[in-house]
Parts: sequence; C-alpha cells; structure tokens
Amino acid sequence: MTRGVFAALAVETVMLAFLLTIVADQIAHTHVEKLGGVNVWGYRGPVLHQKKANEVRIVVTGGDLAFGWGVAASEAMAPSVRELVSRRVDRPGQPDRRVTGVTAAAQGLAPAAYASWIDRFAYLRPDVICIVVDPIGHVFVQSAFLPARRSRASMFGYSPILPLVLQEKGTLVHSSLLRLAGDTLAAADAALGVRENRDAAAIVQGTDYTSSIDAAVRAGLRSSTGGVVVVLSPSSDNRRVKAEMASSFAGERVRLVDLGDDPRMLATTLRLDGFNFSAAGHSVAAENVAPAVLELIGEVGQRTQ
Amino acid sequence: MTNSTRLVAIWALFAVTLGLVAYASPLPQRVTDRDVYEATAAHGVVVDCSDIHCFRVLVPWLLGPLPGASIVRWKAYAVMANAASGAAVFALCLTLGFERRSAWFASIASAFGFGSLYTLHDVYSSDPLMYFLGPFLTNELMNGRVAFAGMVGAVGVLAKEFAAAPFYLMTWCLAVERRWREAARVFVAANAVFIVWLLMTLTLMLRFNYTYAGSASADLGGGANLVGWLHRQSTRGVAAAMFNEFGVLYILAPVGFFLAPQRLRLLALLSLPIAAFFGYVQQPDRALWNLHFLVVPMAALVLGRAPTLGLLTLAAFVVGNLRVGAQLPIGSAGKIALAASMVLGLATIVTTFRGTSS
Repeated sequence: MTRGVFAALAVETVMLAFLLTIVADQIAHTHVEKLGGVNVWGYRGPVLHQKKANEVRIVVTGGDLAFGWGVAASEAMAPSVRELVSRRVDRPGQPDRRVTGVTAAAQGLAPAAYASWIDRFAYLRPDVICIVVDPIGHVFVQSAFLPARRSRASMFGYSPILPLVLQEKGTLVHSSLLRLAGDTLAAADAALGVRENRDAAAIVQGTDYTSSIDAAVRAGLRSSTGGVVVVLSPSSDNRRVKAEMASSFAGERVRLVDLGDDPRMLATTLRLDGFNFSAAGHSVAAENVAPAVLELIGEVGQRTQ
Repeated sequence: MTNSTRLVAIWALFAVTLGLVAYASPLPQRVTDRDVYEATAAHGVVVDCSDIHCFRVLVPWLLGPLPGASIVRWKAYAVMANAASGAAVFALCLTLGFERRSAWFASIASAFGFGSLYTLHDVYSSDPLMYFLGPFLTNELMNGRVAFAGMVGAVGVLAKEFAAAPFYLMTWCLAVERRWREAARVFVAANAVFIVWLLMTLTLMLRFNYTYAGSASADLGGGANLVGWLHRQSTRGVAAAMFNEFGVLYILAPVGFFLAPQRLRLLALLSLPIAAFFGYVQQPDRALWNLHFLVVPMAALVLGRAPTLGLLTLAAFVVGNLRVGAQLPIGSAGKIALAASMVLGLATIVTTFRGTSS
C-alpha cells in the first residue's frame, strides 16, 4: 500500500468518524427532542419550519422554570400558551392564522445571559417573546447539557446531545460500553469546548437582577414584532421588579405577568420538585400568560390595519 | 469501428428507439414524485422538505435551467440515460471477456428491461442515471481508472446514494481476490464518494431543515419501505411486481451464473447484501433493477449460446416490458409476450445445456 493511499485512508477515517458522529447525534436528537431533550438547535420540540405569512409565533424563553424540566416538550408552557391563543385567533370566519409555540429556554441560564440567549434565537422570528424569569435565590440546575452551551458546536448554534444520551442509556441498561462512549464523547467535547461565562454559576443573584431583565426585554423587543411578556415566578416577592419594570417600559410593547397573583400557582401540587412546574403547573401558568400574549397580538393587528 | 465509436453508435441507436417508446408511453395516472423533483428544479432547495427525493438534487438541478416543457426535458433525460446504460453494459461485458454477441444481448436487455422502460413511463426519478452509473463505474474501476470513477461517483452521488455502491462492491471484490493495493485505492474512492454524500445530506438537513421524516426508507428498524410496500400490496400484487422486475431473467441469470467468468460470479455473489439492503430500504420491485448490470450479463451468456432462440426470447422479453414497464397500451400482447419469453427462455436453457453436453 503506498503512503498516499494510507494517508488518504487516515484522513477519510477521521472525516467519516466526525460526520457519522453528527449523524448519530441527529438520530439521538430525534429520540429525545419531544421528551426531555432539545433539538439540534437547542430548543425544545422538533425544529420549526420556515415561518409562514399567516403564522403567529410565540417563544417562551428563560432559565430553569421556562425550560420545564420533567415534562415533555408538548407539556411545557409554550404549547399551552399556543393552544389558548390559537383558540382565540384561529376562529371560523376569520382569516386563517396558524399559531406556533416553542420553548427556547436553557437549564442553568442566569438572568444576565437571557438577552444574548434571546438574540441567539432571533432567527425564529417570534411575534411575542415570553421571558419566564427564575426568582432571586434560585439554585441553578448544574448541567452541561440541555442545551449544550459549553460545546464548541454551540458556537454554530448546534446543540449536541449524543454524549448525554449515551451516558443515560448506558446507565439505564447497565452498559459500561455505552457509558464509556458517552463519557469519551463528553470529554472530547469538553476538551474542545468553550468556557461559559456563568454568573457565579450556582444561584440567581439579586445584584443586577432588574437590569438583567431589563436587557432581556430590550433584546426581546428587538427580536419580536409583537412585544414581550415578562413572566415572574410565583415563589418570590416581585414588588420591586414590578415597580421598576412599570416605570422602565411604560407605553412600550411589554406586558408583565406575576404568576404570584394567581393563588393557584402557589399550590405545591403544581410542582414536580418544589420548583419546576408539572404539566398542570405549566398549563395554569399559561392561562395567566395567554391574555397578555393575545393583547400584544391584537395590538400588532391594529397597527397593521 | 473503434470501441468508443461503437459505444456512441449503440447509444444513438438505443436513444432513438427508447425515444419512440418514451413518446408513446402514457403519463402515470397516480401520484408520483413529480412535484418534489419539479420543486427542486424550480427552487434549487426546498426548505423544510421531508421527502427523500428532495435529497436527490443533481438531476433536477441539471434539468431545471434547460428550456422546454418539464415532461419533455425529463423524458429526454430518461431516454439518454437509459441508452447510455445499455452502452455501458455493452462495454462492461467486453471488459468481462464476453463475446460481442452476448454483449449485444446484455446491452439490449438492459436498455429495454423493466426498470429502464418503467422510467420512461414515470420519468421523474434519479433512477435512469443510476442505471447508467452502475455499469459505467464498475467498468471504469475494473479498468483501473479509479480517480476518474471517483470524480464521476462524487457527482453522481448527488443524484442518488446508490452511486456509492459500485465502489464498495469493487472494493470487496478486489479484497476477495487478494488484490489489496487495488482494493485500497478503490476503497479510498468509495469513502470519498460516501463522504460527499454525507456532506451534502448533512448540509441539506442542518442548513435547510431537510428531514427523512416523511420517508419510510429511513425507518431502518421499522421495516423501512419493504414492510409498508408489502402491507399495501396483495400477495398477487407483490408476486406480479417482483416477476415483472426481471421476468425471464429470473431463470436465465442463475443458469448464466455457472457460465459466467469468475469475476462476474464473484460480483454477483457480493452484490447480494447490497441488493438486500436496497430492496429493504426502497421499493424492491424497482430497487433491484439498480443491479441490472450484473443480472443481465449472466442471462445474456445463456442467450448467446443459442442465438436464434436467444434472440426470440429477448424480443419477447422486450415486448413484454413495453407493456409492464413503459405501460404501452398493447393489451394482451404484452402478457402473451411475457409468457412466451418464459417458454422461450426455458427452451434456450435446454438448448444451451444440450449444446454443452454434446
């Protein structure tokens, strides 16, 4: 065998390994994106199609609370809001309008990072962005995944999930081989990965809390055509945030929803683990959010007429 | 007449004849892949497409910019590619050491076989190009023109993934023959073609949100296209479709296997896993014709041993395919021809063996 052929085979082996890993990652995504995982672009549920002219798109973003740990993509807040909004805007006798809702939140995302996260998903062309803010004092989920923000691939918007799927599958079926494959891929990804600039990394700080939300709202206003709904957690005292938001965004396309105003939201039965909402919790939260979304959509309709 | 002049003459002869068949062939009265191919031809890329045919971009990209009615362009393409397929099988047979007569039989059977003629009826497909590339690439690889074959394969794989198959088939063949150095060279080319296909597929998926979601072919664990096809068809329908695919070749090719040169036998045996794979992921009654360039030459060896009967068998085979393949409205003549081809085929086999034993 000549040296050239040997070299070509070596290069091809590396390329094939890389490309087939991407293929395997895509297959892994299709298995988990409708459940607890994310799709290749890091948001929950299947990848959205190009936005249609008659489409109203609602994006729910934020950190742990918005992400909806423990519920399927279809049980999170975004699909529930979508359902409620759709019932109102897509009625017989009115122009055909299709409503889509998507959860573009991230586990362990500090409020200071919300603005850049919203910018990242501006290409989804949302009409309304709902920013569900984690409360001060909330301890972040410590996860390198969902979506994988520390991966080198995240620079291109891609969110690999194969390492996590292999690790979890390996644990589930007691396969050390699968776990090893997952660990190896995770280690390789970490070695190449980027260091995330996490805000103290463990807890939502009171410092700059309001200014972080403020920046996120500004980012949301830039990205959306309809406006922004700020959704505050029911488990915190939101009076100061509400007062500052009211003065900062008076007259702008911003609505404020304090889930704490709905006594139902305080019920522990709507939580899975004391913090994250159950499917029913997301559904009740959506009932609070949907009217504000409808209001913003209605204003868009009035402006265009 | 030089070899290349002869090949051009064969191609021209087939093109004229197939052109007449294509002209007479009616348009399908059912849903075909026409919309998908025409959308690719018109837009280049169909964003969010979930049809497997969206990934087969080469032919619509080439035909899209050409002037004239869509159906005329696609029929012309099918005619030219199938004529080229016949010529390529002729060249391959000569490379395998066939007599010219047997090579002629093989090339006619390829150009006028079920698969070829069916693509004159349902023209919106990448299949005619694959029918040509199979024998063409195999012949180029056998003649040591690996780099050229690799380049053609790298372009051809943009039309359909099958273009990579001849490379792996030849790699395996050369490895079995213990010609390691040549096998390694062809393996490099095979991987290069496969990488091109992977790159194109991933680009379309990641950049333009193409998926295989709408295609049963990608459901490898769930029976792919085969199980769905079997469920949709009656037993009789399955039997008829499978019979039509090769017809008399089913009885001629196995006999021809024992008359074939060592390498053709080897290729035929090694192609069985490829045939099984494509038969599983695609519709088997059409997918298997991709390997016509191995089946038809083996059958042609039998026909060539008894030329007169062989010619009659071939004629009946072609007439039958005009009905079941090109869907020409020739009524019962097609059925009679198919039956006759079987009887004549059996007679050819008997004559061949008598000739061999005496």
